[in-house]
Amino acid sequence: MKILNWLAQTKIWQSIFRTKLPISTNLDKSLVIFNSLTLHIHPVKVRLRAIKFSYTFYLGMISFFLFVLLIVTGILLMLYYQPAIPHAYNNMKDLEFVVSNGSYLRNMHRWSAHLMVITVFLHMLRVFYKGAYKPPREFNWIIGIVLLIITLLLSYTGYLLPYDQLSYWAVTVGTNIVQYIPIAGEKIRFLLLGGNEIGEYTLVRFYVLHCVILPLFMVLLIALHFWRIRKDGGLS
Amino acid sequence: MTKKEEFEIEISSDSKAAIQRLAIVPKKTPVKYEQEKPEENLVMTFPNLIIREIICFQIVVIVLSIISLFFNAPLEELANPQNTPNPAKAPWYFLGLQELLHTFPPVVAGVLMPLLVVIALIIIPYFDINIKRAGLWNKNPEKTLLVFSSVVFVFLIIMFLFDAFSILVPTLLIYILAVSPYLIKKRNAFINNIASLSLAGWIMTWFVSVTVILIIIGTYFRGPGWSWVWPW
Amino acid sequence: MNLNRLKILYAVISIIFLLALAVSPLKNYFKAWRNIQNNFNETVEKLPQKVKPVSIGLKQIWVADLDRIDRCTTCHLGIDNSKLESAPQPFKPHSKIYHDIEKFGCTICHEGQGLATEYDAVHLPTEFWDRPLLPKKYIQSSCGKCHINEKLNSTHLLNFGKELIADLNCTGCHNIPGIEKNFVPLLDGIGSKVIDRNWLVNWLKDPAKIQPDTKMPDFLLTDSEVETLADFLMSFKSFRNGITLDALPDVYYKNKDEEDFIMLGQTRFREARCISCHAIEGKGGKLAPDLFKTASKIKDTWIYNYVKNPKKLQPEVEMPQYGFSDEEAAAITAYIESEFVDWDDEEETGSVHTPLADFYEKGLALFNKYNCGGCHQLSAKGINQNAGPDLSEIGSKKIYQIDWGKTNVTHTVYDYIETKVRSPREFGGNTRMPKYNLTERKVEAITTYLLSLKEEKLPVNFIHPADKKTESSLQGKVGKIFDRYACLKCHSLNDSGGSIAPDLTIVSSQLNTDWLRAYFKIPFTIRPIVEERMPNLFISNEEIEILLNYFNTVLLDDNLSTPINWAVDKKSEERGASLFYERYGCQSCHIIEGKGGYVGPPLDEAGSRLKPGWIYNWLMNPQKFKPETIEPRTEMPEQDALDITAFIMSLKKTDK
Repeated sequence: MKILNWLAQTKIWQSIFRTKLPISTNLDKSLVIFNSLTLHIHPVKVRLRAIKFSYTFYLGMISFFLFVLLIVTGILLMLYYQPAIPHAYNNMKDLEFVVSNGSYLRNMHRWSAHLMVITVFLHMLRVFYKGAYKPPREFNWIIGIVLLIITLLLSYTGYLLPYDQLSYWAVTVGTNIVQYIPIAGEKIRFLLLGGNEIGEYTLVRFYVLHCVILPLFMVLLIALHFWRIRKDGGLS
Repeated sequence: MTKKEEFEIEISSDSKAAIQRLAIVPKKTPVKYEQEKPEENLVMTFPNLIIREIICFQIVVIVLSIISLFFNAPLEELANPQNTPNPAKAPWYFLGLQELLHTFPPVVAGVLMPLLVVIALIIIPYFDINIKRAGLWNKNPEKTLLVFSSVVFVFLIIMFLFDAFSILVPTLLIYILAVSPYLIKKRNAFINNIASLSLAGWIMTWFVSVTVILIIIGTYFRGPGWSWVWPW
Repeated sequence: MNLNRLKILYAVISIIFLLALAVSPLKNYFKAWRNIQNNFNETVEKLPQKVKPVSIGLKQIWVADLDRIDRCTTCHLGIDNSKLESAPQPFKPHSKIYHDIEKFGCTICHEGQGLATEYDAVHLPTEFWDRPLLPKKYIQSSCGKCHINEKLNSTHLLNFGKELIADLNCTGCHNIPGIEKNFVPLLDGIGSKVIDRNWLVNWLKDPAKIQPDTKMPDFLLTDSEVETLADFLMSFKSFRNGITLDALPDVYYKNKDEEDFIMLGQTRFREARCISCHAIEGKGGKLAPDLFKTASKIKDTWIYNYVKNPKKLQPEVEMPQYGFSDEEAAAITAYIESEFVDWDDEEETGSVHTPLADFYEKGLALFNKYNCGGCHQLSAKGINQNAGPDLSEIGSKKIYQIDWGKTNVTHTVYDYIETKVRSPREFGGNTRMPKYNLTERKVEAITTYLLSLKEEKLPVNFIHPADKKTESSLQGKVGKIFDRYACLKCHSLNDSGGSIAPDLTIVSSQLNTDWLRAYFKIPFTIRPIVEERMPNLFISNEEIEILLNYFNTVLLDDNLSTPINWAVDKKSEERGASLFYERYGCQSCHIIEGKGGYVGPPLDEAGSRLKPGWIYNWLMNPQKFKPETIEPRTEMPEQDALDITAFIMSLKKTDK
């Protein structure tokens, strides 16, 4: 503890962390929030009622944490993945048998993704039944709906990437629905698959969607979502 | 319900005995002012919220780690376009949609319905006129019953024509649940609870239960040729 | 919850959090293969031989040509180290291996999941991996993937399987590449051939019961199917192309019970070496049906006609047409009639059978249903080919394509094929495949061959197809003679034909013409321990001259000559004799004057049999002519070979 205290007094520490230890007064506590890039999304004070578990079940928070986990594991998985046939599948085998903690990473990514779909949906239900979408939060509700859709799309595009039987046919079924869209259905399907059937290009397209385009939108919309919550008066 | 007498209006010219007040109600009242906010009990974000967030994050990681250590992510054999599994199933969250596709024409099930759901979800905050969320039976119960029942009945007929029993049955159940506060006069906590649910609440409840049931059916009860099988 | 309790919760959860994160790396560290490698290093230390310990880490073989990665060597660490012969598994070296492991990897032959590093995933049949580790008994099937139709010495089971498939005529119903169709009797005139309808009924019920060595499988027909089919077949009384049976000569009816007449038949039967091909009660050759019970099966007229000219009744049969006279053929018929009778056969009760009105249509439908026409020819309208599944890529049949029925067979391709071969109806369904009575070894052999038929896309430089056989189709008179006496059933010519008797391709460079002429007349065994010998074909002198003429002009090798300045003299002969007996010890395998070994042919009359050029060249390099011969290549000097040749040439036939 002494060493830690001494460390906290050094110039280097203080140049990195603005917060001075020990944190005792309310001002110190406020400064923790102010001085942090990540934390200052929070107000300095919050309603006690709103931070109780029974109030929100922390569903939004859990969804966000799952998203963070997905990004971390996803980036690590990208290091071992080639969007090509049949390498994509062999990479899964490598993850399982050769890469250190490979199956742990893949399992985490997979189950987080499934769980996130559930928590985001439950989050929506919670907001609905609590009436938390009411003015002035109408638009934030819509952002939430879009986030739900993007979550589904992220999960769906990721589904193809192992390129096993499960992914191939799940994606076939899904993309077959797309072609029922009147007039443009076939064209949209062609655009998605990069051809008339699932193949190398589909894999690349889904890979880019899954790893670049959709996460980008997701991050932007999550930021907007959080910012709006803060501006509309915190959790409700 | 409060008694009528309580709303008696006092009229007097003596301004001291009966104080006259003038309230100007603008046409659009911001909702946030409508609900009286009780005096909030505020606490410091740090450490009260931050510690909860950290614990929450840790629990999420712990739970997922445990799941990941015990259950491997599925991996079947290399994709083979020649080998169509029977049935080919979409990811579980789309199985409801796939189940619909089985009962309705593709354009309706695959395009129209999801589109309607998304639109309905988006417009909820704009069309929720019942700001106070009065229960379904609060006002004019007889008329409500008639309109509500006839709409549900027409819907059920349509579902019946399409053989969509997987929708019909939950709809029927929700309907029975919805009208039960009207029929059962004896009150208890449960009945009170569902009596206070608004129309929008009922629609959402119906939507969620149908979705969940469709997904469960699609996941566990559908076998080769999308035929009904028992999962055990 | 107040803050203090939250802090305690935070502390507890933090510890669990760290523990949860530590589990996966620990699990990773304690993987089985790491343990096995440590084990290896310990084992190696205890060995008396010096073997380098391995550095702990995953090992793999990347086969660039196949774009395949095999991680088997992670645990099988001693695979190419002969010093580890005594080490326990998985460290033992590979048994004799024909390919460079680094170039081929493991799974190309052994199959299994080469990418995996866990025992179960690699070795055991697992879901979602179509090709589990191939059981050792089927390993030769992998040789057949690249060595297509090559008859390798080391793949006896694969070769045997191929022979069996040809022998059992699987190609009658299935398309199997590289296998020719076998002779199967055509059924025209079967109504005039078999002794009675009853025999046919019994035959169709269970062919093996009547003739244990039959190649006809049991179609497991119902009784009514048997009756209908028998009626249908019995209705074919006339032979193909309007051929009619010659009546038996009067001499037959007059003498058929006479001892002398039967004796004549028996003598001719012996001289013709019928049992070289036909067994009698299981003793004898396996090329043709067992003749035991023949008289209870076939009418005597048919037998007589067949003995006289087999090809008249069965144009594709390979039985030679012996030069018997009518009387001799009749005597042989009488001999068969007297000897080869099924004494247990119960006399027919005499009840007259009246076929159903629509027996023909129904019989035809059955004939087509069971694809009888796949093997047996029959001139009837409405016979369709109704073949079974194409087997040209059966070895890579996918698990999902297989209907397992109600069996509890392990879901692997090899188990499927094995079960299907052993008991074809096991999987239920509409299969029509008949049941063959196969020994386990035969089942294994057939399974091995079928497993080798894969659609795998192997790189071109891996594939080793055998040289295409050039069908030698002899024309003209020689062709007719070869055809008539079915020479190529036993002998081969330019790599095609049988493998029972010596190759004839350079026969005229090997054998003396005079000796050959005498041999045609009275063939005899040269090797004392070989039972099969050339039958007496009763071939006419004219035909012998045509053949010898052909041999001497065509079946030669111009390179087989002795050096030009070679001259036989006494000195050379004597030196050859001493070389023969002392230097090279040839008598340990070859008999001369009653002394010597039994491995090689006796050389007593070799001087009149063989040509000197052949002896000389043979001595210089026996394997050049017969790759499988066991005669050692002694690399003797030219002069030695010449002297020994001179010695052998002196061993002439002496008329005693």
